[in-house]
Amino acid sequence: MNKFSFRKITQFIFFAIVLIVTYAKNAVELGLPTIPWIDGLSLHAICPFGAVETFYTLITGQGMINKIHESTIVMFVLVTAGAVLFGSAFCGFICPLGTIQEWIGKLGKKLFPKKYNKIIPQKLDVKLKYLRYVVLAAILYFSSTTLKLVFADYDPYYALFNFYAGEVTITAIAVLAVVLLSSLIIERPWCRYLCPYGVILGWFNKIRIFKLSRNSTTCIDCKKCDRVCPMNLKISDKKSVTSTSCISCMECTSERACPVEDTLVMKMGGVK
Amino acid sequence: MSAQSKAIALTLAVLLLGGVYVADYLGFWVTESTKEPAKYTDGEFAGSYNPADIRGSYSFEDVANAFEISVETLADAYGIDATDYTAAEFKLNQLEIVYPNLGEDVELGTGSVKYFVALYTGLPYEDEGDGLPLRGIDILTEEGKIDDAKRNELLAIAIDLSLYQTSDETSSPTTETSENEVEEEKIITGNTTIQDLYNFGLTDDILTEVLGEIPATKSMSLRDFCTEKGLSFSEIKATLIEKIDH
Repeated sequence: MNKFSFRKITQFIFFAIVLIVTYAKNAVELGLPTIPWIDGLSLHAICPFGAVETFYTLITGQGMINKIHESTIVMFVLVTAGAVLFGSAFCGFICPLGTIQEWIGKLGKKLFPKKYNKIIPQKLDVKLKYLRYVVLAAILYFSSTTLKLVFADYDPYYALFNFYAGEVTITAIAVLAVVLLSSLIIERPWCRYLCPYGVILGWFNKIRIFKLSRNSTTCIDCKKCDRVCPMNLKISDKKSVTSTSCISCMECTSERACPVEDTLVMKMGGVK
Repeated sequence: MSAQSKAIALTLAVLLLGGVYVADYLGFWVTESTKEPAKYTDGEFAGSYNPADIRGSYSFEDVANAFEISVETLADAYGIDATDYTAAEFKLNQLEIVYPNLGEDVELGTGSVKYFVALYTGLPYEDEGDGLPLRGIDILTEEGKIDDAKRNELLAIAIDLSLYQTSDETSSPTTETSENEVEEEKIITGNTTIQDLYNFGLTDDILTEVLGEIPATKSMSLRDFCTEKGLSFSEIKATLIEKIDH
């Protein structure tokens, strides 16, 4: 397996970018030491999910809800373009909340090597993944009826980068704490069971231009792909991975876990 | 054609960072709201800016640009010293940082500025139970924006900021007395609970008279009770203040 990972470098870079620009914004307002030459940005301004939260108000001509700006829509369009190409690769390559769960997961793997990512029975795991739809539906409903950014009060992503800024609710910090602690024993618990944006991006796994495909004629059925999948998906019996839970992290592919060249690949149109 | 991790990482990075650059070049990369509140859409004041839409990210200058009130008036009302802050650039959400020791039941933030601006400009506004600085009430009186009856009503929610240290100073709030101290202890805000009303000396009979019933949960906030029963919080609050004063 190739140890060098462009994905992990990309994750680190985008985590650092978000950390720096949100700090630069908060530092000015809180009187903390500022970062020269960096224009601070509100997390709401760069989080593409804001466009989903304000979707109703936009299509009904009410403009954008408080704290959502044009930049949010730009980010949503760009991430969607990426999803059309590679499915939910934003989750696996960019999302800082996913990144920090992975980092904590590395510690969890060392602390609980036998139980890590194996404590939730598969049947329950499948059912719990539907919670993402419940969260998404609740956010769409309450955002459209209150015309407020209601999810910010519960959003662990917002809490992660703004916990020191005073505007974060205790609830959001509690959700963040539960997510980070759970990451010690479950891989990416937020992404897996609760993330409302992940479920939207996951839909693109069904129609993405570059499909994650398995060549069954060269596959040796070693099931390494199943074992390395952070979302516990069963890949070894699929011709193409279209699950909405796949985060397109490429860990299962022939460039990482799969021992046979060109057998599990992200390919335009899929494997024939 | 297959895509390796390297290609996906580079494509996403170029797409996002390049996309932001292009959006910025084209003028689509707007990361802050315009500092203009929404306008009333109907009624006598249709077309005027609505103080209810003033936001915490607005500076005194933003407020002054939208309403007929000066930065100096706002700074004076809220005790903002131009030697500590450039008053025009002072953001409303900084009030809670400047005055961190007001106590749990005392609200002095963006909502207070909304109310003050509404009173100053005579624009309609549904009071949300925020406090007002005593100096602000004095300004409203001096400039003829409110009559004596309104002043007396507002004194019940007045906060004498001179009694409190700002965050630039280290000691806790001073304990010197003032003519307003008694009223300060009996401020009714959105967070005031039913139990607080009893603590203010109100009886079951008075609460029944004003609220229509005795709320079952004493820890419930007055605002939540009013919302649940479809009562006007501001009207109930005014009536209760009268009862407390008597």
